Amino acid sequence: MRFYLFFLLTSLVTSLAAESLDTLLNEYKSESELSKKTKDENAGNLIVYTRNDLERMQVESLKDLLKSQRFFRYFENREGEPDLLNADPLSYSSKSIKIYLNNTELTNPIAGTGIILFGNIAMDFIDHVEIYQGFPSFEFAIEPALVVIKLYTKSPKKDAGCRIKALVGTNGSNKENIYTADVTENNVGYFLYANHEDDNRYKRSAEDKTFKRDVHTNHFYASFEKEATKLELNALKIKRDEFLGALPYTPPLSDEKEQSYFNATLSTKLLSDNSLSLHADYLRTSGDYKATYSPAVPALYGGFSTFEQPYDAQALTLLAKKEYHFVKHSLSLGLQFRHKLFDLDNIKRDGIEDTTSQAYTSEDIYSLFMEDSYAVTDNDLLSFSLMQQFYKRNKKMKDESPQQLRLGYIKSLQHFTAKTFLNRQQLVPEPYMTAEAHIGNPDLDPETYTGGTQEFSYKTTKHFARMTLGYTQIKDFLLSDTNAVIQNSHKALNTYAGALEYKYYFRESDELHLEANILKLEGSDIAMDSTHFNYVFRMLNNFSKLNIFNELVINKGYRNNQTGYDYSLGAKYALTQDLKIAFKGENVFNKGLKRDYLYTIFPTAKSLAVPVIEQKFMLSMEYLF
Amino acid sequence: MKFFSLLILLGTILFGANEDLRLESSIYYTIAKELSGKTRPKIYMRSNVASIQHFSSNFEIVNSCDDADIVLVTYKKNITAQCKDKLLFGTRYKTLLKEPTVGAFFWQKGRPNILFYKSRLKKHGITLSKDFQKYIDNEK
Repeated sequence: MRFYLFFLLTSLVTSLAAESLDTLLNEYKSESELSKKTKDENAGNLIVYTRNDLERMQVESLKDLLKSQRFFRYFENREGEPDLLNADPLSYSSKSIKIYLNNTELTNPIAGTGIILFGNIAMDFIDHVEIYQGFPSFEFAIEPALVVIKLYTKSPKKDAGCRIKALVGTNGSNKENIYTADVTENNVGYFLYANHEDDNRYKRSAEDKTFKRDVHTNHFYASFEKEATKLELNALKIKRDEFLGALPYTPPLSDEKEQSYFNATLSTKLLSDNSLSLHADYLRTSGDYKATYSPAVPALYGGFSTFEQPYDAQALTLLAKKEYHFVKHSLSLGLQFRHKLFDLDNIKRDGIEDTTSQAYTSEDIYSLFMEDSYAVTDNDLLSFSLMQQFYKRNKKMKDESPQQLRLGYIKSLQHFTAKTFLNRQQLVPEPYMTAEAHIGNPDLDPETYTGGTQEFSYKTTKHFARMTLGYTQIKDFLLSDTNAVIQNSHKALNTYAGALEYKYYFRESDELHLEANILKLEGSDIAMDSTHFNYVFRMLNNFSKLNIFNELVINKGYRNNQTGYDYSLGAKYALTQDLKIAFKGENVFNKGLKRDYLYTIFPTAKSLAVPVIEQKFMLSMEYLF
Repeated sequence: MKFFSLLILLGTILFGANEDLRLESSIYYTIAKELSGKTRPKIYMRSNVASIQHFSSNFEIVNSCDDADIVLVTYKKNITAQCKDKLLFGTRYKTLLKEPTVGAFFWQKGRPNILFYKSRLKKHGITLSKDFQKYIDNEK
C-alpha cells in the first residue's frame, strides 16, 4: 500500500513537472507569435491574423482573408484583377488601400496601390497579417490610406529548416512552393522562398465567346538580415487571362496581360537605442495588355480589331524616422520621399500607335510627419499626428500640397479598451486618373476625407467582443463621367459603418467567431447609394492531430450583386509533426456572392453574373525538414 | 514617474510585455536546474542570450567558463579552450550537430524544440528525470 502511494505521488509530481515544461513550451510558442511584436494598437482599428490563425484557417491566398473583412471585401475588376472597392466598370477603385510586405509598400506607381498585383498573393511565406482600418498611422504610408494591409514574412530564426508544399485543385489548379531559412555562424539570417501557381477558374460564355480568368504566377522572395539591418528582394511574374477585358464596347475574342514586378529594400536602425530608422527601396513594374476583337469594336468606338496597352513604372522611396521619448511623450518625426516614373502611353489599335501623350511622366512626393503619443494616465493615451505633403510633377501638370491630420485616444483597462480616431485627410488622385490621356483628367482636385471611428472591445480568456462605428464624408469624390473620363463629384459622399464582433474560445483550442457589419453609402452624383451587410460565422476546432475549419460569409445589398452565401470548409491532419495533409473547399455550394460585369454596352448594355470567389476544392501536402 | 508610466503603457499597447523573454528564461532555468542539480545554476554566455539577460534572477551569471556550471553556446566561437570540457548547452540546432553540446533549446520549423543526446549526457554522467525523457534522442 505504501509502495502504491509512493508510486502514485511520484507519478503525480513527475506528471506535473512534465506538464510544466510542456506548458512552458506551449505558452512560449504562443507568446512568441511575431504579431505580438509588430502590431500597433495605436495605429488604427486593427485586425490581426496570427500565424496560428492563418494555419488553422488554411489561408492559401490573401483573398481568403479579405473576403470576410468588415466594411469592404475582396472583389475583382472586369479584367480579373484584385480591386477591393471595385465600383466602376472602367476605373480602378482601390488606390486608398495600401499593401505592405514587412515595411515595404508593394505598389504599382500608376495605380497608387499594390492590391492590383498582390491582392490575391499566395500566403505560404507569410507569418502573420495586420489590417489597419480607418486612416491608419502616417508612420506606415508615404501616401495616406483608408486601409493598410501589412503582410509579415516568416523569420530566419524561427523557421530555420526547409518546407516544401504542393497543392492540386479544381480545374487543374496547382501550387508548388519551397522555402528555406537559417541563421549562419556570422549571425546573418536568411529566408528564401519560391512559388509557382496556376489558378485555373471556370470559363464563362456569352455571345459565342468564351471568357477565361486563369492566373499563372511565379514569385520569389529573399531576405538577409544581420542585427537591425535587412535586405529584401521580391520578384513577381503574372500572366493572366483578362476575362472581359479593359474595354466594355464589345466582348473580346481573346485577351491577356503579362506583368512583372521587382523590388529591393534596404533598411536599418541606428543609434544605441535604435531610435533612428532608415529605409530605402526601389521597385520596377511593367506589363502588357493585349486584346483581339472579332467582330471589330463598333465604329462609334474606333472600329479596331486589336488593342494593346503596355505600361512601365518605377519608384524610389527613401524614409528616415527618429523617435524621442520625453517625460510624458513619445514622439516620432519622419521625412519621406518617393520619386515615381511612369509610362502609360504607347496604346496601339490595329498596330497603330496612339498619338496622344500622358499629361506628366514623373512625380516626386515629399512627406513630413510628426506623431506624438501622450500618456495622460497609466490607462489613457492621446495621440496627435500631422503630415504635410508636396507633390511635384513634371511637364505642365499642377503640383499639390495636401495636409493630413489625425487625432487618437485610447482608454485601456484590464479587460476593456476604447479607441477613438478622428481624421481629416486629402488623397491626391493617382497617375492613371490624371496622367492617362483618355480617361485621365489633369485638372482633378484631391479628395478630402473627414471622419472618425469609435471602437469598444472587451476581452477575457474565454470571450472577446468588439463594436466598431465609423463615419466619413468624402468631398470631391472621384468617379467616371459618361465618357469614362474621371471627374470630381459635385456632391459629397457620406459613409456610415458599424460592426459587431464576438469570439468565444471554448475548450483550449476551439474558437467560434461571429460578426455582423453594415456599410451605408449615400449622396454622390451618380447612383452609388447602397447599404450592404456582411455576416461571418467561423468555427475553428482542434481534435488532437486534426484541425477543422468552417466558415460562412453572407454578403447582402451590394450594388450589381445578388446576396451570396459563401460556405468554406477545411480539414488538416498532421501525419507527423513535419508532414501534414489538408483538404479545403471554397464556396462549396456555389452560392457565394456574384458580381454583374458589363461585357458590352453596344447596342445595349448586357452583363454577366460571375461568382466573386469561385467554387474550388483543393488537396495539399506540406513537409518540413 | 510619468515617464515610466508612459513607457509601460506604450510598451503594453505597442509591443505587449516581454512575456516571451520571461518564458524563454524560465525554460532555460528549468533545463539548467536539471542539468546542474542546483537551484541557482552558474551560467556563462559569451554571446548574450537576451532572455537570460533580461530575466536573470534565477541564475548566477559568471564571467568565465571556469566558474560556470553550464556554458551556453550560440556560435562555435563561443567555445574557447577553457570551455571545451565544461557542460555545454546550445541555443541553436546547429550547435548540436557541430559542437559537443549535451543538448539544445532552439527554434526550428516554426516551433520551439528541446533536444538532448543520450550519449553526450552519459559522457557527463548526467541522468535526467522522467519528465525530461521525451526530449532525449540518440545522436544521428
